[in-house]
Amino acid sequence: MFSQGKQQTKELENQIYRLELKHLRKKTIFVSVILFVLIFPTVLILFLFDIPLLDIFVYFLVFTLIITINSIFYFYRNLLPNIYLSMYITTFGLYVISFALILDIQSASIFTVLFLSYAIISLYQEVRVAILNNIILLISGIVFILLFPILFEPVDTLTPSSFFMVFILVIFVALLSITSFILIKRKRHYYRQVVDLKEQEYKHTQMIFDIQKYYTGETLDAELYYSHIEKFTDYLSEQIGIENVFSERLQIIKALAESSNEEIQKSFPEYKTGDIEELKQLELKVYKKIAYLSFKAAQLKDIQPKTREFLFEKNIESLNHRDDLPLVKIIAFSVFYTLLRAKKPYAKAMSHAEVVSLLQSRDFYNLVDDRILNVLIYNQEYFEKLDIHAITEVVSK
Amino acid sequence: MRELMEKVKNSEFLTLNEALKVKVYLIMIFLLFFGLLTIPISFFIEDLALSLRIVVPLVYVSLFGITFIMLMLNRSRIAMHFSMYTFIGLTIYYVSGTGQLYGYFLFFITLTVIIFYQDITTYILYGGILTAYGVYYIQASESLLVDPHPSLPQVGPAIYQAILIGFFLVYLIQFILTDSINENLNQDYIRTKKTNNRYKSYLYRYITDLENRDGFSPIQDNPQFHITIKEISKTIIEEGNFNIEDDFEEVIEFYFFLHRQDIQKILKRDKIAEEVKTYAYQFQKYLINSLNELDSLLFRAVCHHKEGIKDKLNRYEYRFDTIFSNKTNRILGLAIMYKFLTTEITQLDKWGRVQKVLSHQELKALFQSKEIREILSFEDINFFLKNENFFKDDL
Repeated sequence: MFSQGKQQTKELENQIYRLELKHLRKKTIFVSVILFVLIFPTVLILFLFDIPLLDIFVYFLVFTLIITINSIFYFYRNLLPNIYLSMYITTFGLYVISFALILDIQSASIFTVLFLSYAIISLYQEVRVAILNNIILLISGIVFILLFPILFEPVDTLTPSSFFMVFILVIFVALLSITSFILIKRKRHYYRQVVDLKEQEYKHTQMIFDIQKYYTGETLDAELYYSHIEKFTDYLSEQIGIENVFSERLQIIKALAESSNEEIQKSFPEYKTGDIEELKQLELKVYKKIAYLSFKAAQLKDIQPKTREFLFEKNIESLNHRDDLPLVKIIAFSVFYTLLRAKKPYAKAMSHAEVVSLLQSRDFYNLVDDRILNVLIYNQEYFEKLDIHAITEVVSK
Repeated sequence: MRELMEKVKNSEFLTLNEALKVKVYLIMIFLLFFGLLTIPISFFIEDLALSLRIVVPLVYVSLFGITFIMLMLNRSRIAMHFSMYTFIGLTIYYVSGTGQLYGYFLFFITLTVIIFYQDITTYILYGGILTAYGVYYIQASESLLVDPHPSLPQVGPAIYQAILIGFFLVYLIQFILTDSINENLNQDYIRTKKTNNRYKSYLYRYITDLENRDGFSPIQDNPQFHITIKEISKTIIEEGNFNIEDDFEEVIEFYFFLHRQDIQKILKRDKIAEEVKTYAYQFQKYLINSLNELDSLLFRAVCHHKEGIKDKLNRYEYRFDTIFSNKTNRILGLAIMYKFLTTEITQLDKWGRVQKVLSHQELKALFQSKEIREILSFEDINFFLKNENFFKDDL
């Protein structure tokens, strides 16, 4: 369905993944705090039920272990970037504690600790953990209800109560699974919208730079910038009274436009790949991120949101607004299509196949009425032969 | 049913109201199964008075009916409340019976139904009341709850109560956490959207200046363009089997006519037919000669084929203290940024042309603004202010 470049899609997916990781780390802390709070009532209950002290100590140890693992994953994120491992350990660890509690105390009241564990794990709102959480709860719940009737004494096995409880458990898991499914999908959709917009932001900047170059005939003189920065850093080092630590880095930055990481590492062996990648952000000829970033900085005035507006819910620019009359959609689309097929001063004309591919891409998902899109797809020959050429010389939009 | 599942599958593309409607439908299905299965069975195992045997199904059917009618009337929010009342009613009915344990489980089910709607106010209100009732109910009927530890009569109910409260609180934390994350994402989205809008106005301005400079005649005045639009529209109407009653050629002429008109004036005029006003209102976002949705989509299309920024490391990170691991790189970044902003055109001038370069004083004001913290840290700004003269004189 989506025809966006593989590399680009991969980078977008990576960014969504990074955004998710950032929030999962935050959630890990919340889960750890809840687990810490739970230690006290757990130990108290075990103590009241005369559980041997050594066993109580094991419970305490498992809690402490889970919290420590979570903390290590949180604080040493560069060393241990895979927070998922910490979530799996927490999920299994918490359910192990719950099973042990049920078997140790053997009371109907403690059975619902499974629900509590489920609630704690669902804080993560992560798809794999959510699936695991649902499966563990469903299977363990059914096993306890049907195979350990002693828990629910004096209710006998397979009385209507047992069936009722299994039924209730299934409803419980089904409802919460759908809740998680909707929440996770929506969350990922928000992540995607934010990332898509950031991608657009960079591309708009790129487009501005291109048009600026076309309009003024001037291009950013990277060499001149570097020579200014060199003089500035020489003077700054002298004035502050420190050794010039900038010149070597500037040499690398200059070399980055034409050399690979390996080539640079041959000349500057003390610089690791990570250091070189970092310096790429300062390069002005090929990578240009610092130029884009500076342009963004200049636009920051008055962009702070003033009202509590939930923009995600407002549909973005579209040719498929629900309230628009069909004829409005058709005419707007015809104009849009023709302008895409026409040559513009800032962009080349697109072929019919390119337009179709664009409209089927993730960037344009749902932005054009399906019926209109189908006409385009099934009448390829007509649209390819369409005489757009007659207007290409005058189209500027 | 298939359509409903399809909607659940694509729930991220639904508006809040549509998503709520889908949720109410799902709850109603659960409610239907749950009620039809449990109410008749409960009559066999509970010793109920005849009046109750009549009242309970009647209340259930009434509440279910109201929920359904509200949904049909597109009052999803009211329907949501009634679906919750139905579940709360069932919970109270069951916990009042003799099957205490599964009655107690129903507290969790009803809380789950409330959670399902993902509305924090409703959760605090109904969920809070239900949890409080659950705690009271366990306290009041502790002797009826099954527990095999008669030596510790006070511990069993306390565990029931603690877990119910714990469950309520954990989901409350989840609500707050989700809300806070969504709010942060939303703020980020709004800020990015605003800068993007600013970029679009730059692009529009540049294109208009280019048109003027290179002597292009406006495309909307080109008769050949009108013919092409008519041809394409005709093909779409015919091939797409659209049932269009209006004369499409006349509407296309009206679309081009609008480019020379003040649409707001048309919308305010009383003598103009409502149908014409509707077309004018809907077309205004697609006019060629103003910055609107059509331009945004064109820019999006052009951007689609651009490669974007080439670095893979921290692609969308802007903060200096995140993208740079040491002070040396940050100073270099700050110097390049200063040089760029005091050399390149980055602003619209007072005539609305893209021609302005920031002065040192304007840049200093920018660096001292709240917004710049999105990129620079206090440490970066302090470094700049402390060495302001070096930046000004030597760059």
